[in-house]
Amino acid sequence: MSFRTGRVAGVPARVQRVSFTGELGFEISVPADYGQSLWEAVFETGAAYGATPYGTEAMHVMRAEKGFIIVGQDTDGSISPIDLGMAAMVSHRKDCLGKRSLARRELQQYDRPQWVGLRPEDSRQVIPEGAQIIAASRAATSGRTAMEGWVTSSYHAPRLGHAFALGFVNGGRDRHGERLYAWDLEAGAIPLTVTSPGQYDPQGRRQHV
Amino acid sequence: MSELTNGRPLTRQGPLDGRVLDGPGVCLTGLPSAAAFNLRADPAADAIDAALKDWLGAPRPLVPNTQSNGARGRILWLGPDEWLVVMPDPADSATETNLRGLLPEEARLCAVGDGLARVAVEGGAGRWLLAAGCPLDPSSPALGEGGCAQTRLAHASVIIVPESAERLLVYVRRSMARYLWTWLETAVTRLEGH
Repeated sequence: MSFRTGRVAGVPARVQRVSFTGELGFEISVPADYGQSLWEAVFETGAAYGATPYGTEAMHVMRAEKGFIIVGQDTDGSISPIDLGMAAMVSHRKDCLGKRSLARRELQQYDRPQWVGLRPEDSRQVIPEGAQIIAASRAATSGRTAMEGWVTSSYHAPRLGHAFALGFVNGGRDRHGERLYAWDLEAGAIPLTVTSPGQYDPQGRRQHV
Repeated sequence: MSELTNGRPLTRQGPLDGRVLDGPGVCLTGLPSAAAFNLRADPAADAIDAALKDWLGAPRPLVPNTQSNGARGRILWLGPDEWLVVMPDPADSATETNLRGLLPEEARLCAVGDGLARVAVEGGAGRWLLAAGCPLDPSSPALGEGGCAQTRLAHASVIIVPESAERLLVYVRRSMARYLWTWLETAVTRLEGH
């Protein structure tokens, strides 16, 4: 993650090396009047490399395969950097807004909801977003069971070759490999395996070139 | 110039480039983007006015809803510590570098020229045309000589800059430019009678 200012195709530009898809990516910003012309030049030159534009739905699926969050879809005001596995991004030396709250015991609990990947056992079954996660199939517990988490994003993931979801599971980072169920009123109990959230190129080799 | 364009330079394209509309007593022209800089600074910082006077030919206007007009451009009052410095030609990086170099460090400058579309409104009926969708009265001092109005036109936020009795310039956000032009096309057809 870095950026430089300079010129692209002769016009003033800011180029960021940033990726929300898991592929090596750059964002080019130029004055708006040059937008159309730059777009055409990029795709003219990119044709030889198979360049193609992609839309936000494709981007959302690709970021999910990488386990990247969308703030507001995957998170709300109750989710902390610790829950997301991003505690390392909060400086130990510097103060920041929310740091006092983050230090409170309740936010340090090991069984807080934690960011995980959820792989349905049926590779074609896309879990409904918003489904609750439970520990046993509802049938086996005569209708009463504690909530273990919830699903925040769910798609068919083409680069993984199967359906894949993201969400939160209580103490989920220590539960990778565990079998749980997503409960949906219409679909019923959907068996799944808890995984790490980043399933596509987890070592980041495609970006770190 | 670059591999990306096989040596061809990129070309500028503004949202209203080349658009002209004639109506009874009024002519509208979509102008290409021009250099425009948002300036935030202490209104009492005399060094800024000295620099602007040297370079542009005018100091900052300090009276609300007014402008100052220099040989190389205008400065529009936007707020007690905020101005828009506008020049007739598109910004090149030299313009921005020059301006940044001239102004003292405490002046905060942001290039916004490509983000603003401009419509020239010429002719005696121009103020009546704008009155069809603007809460300001055509006789408002902000629309008179030396004025500068931040207002709304057909619900779009605009800056209206009177350049002479017969010519006004309307600045509108780039994203709203085509919407506003479409509204103007309709409003012109209703101008009969003025």
